[in-house]
Amino acid sequence: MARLRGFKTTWAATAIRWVIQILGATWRVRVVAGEEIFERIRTAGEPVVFSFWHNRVLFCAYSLYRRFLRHRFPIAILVSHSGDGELGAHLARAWGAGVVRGSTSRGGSVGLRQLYRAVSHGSSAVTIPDGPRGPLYRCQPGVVVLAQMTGAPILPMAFASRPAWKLGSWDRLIVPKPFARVHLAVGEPLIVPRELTGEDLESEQRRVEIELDRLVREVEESFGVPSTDRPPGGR
Amino acid sequence: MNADDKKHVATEVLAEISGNAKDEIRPEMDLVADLGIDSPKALQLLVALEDRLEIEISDEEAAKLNTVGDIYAFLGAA
Repeated sequence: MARLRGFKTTWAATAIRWVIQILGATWRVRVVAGEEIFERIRTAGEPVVFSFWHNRVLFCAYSLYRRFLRHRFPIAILVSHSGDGELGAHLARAWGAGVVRGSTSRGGSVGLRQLYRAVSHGSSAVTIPDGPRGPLYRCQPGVVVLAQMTGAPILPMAFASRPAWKLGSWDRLIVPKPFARVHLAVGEPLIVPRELTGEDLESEQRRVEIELDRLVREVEESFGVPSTDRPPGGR
Repeated sequence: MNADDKKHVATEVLAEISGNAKDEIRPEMDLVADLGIDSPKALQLLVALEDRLEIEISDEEAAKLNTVGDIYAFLGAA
């Protein structure tokens, strides 16, 4: 039974991968901010912690595949133990990412420990600050702790798409439609100080939220119309 | 490595991460209140224990480690 489930997951992940790559070939992508930051990171080869909101995982992960993983830039991604996570893990491995299973929602979780080791050994990491289950647009401490303890800066990313599907999942996952215009923005790397009090940690979480929200507004408004999917921008 | 050796390594790790002297570390000490082991330090602590003792600590096991004595007891049973 488990083998059958594993086969179905592998099959589904392969199908999703090809659907994304076929869709991706039709997307008209423009980097509206931060192209030079991507270039700087690729050239420097230093680890960073790529971060984006959960509902933007599909295109942001695809961008990392196109721009980094295909060029053998090592990235480890944290994927939850859920059924969706299993699909995500297959997809990430197929794209060449290192996969770490678990969550970063708690300070010393297994997932965070494995990411810490990966970054300490020179790999970059992907964390979803509001994953794996929300609340939407609220940064959990894991990403900040990882950046704090490894010294790797957080690299915020966001995209918007016209037109796009918004799925019925808790996060309203955004999937650009075929031939959609997709705008991507990359923020300045956020360096987290090594020494932080509990209050400082919260304010760093808030800083990540503010920067991700700012990028979302920037990409949404780059289409010349007011955003219809704007994060609340405040706790 | 026997239980005493593991306890010795754990005490060293706790002293390094908390900034306390080894002989100040007592089993009844609370990791957060007495040793200041917050989330980032908890990450360091767990990674150091796993790496130096070549063990794995699950999230469920980690959640039960509230005092120095809890760590000693866990290592005795590990």
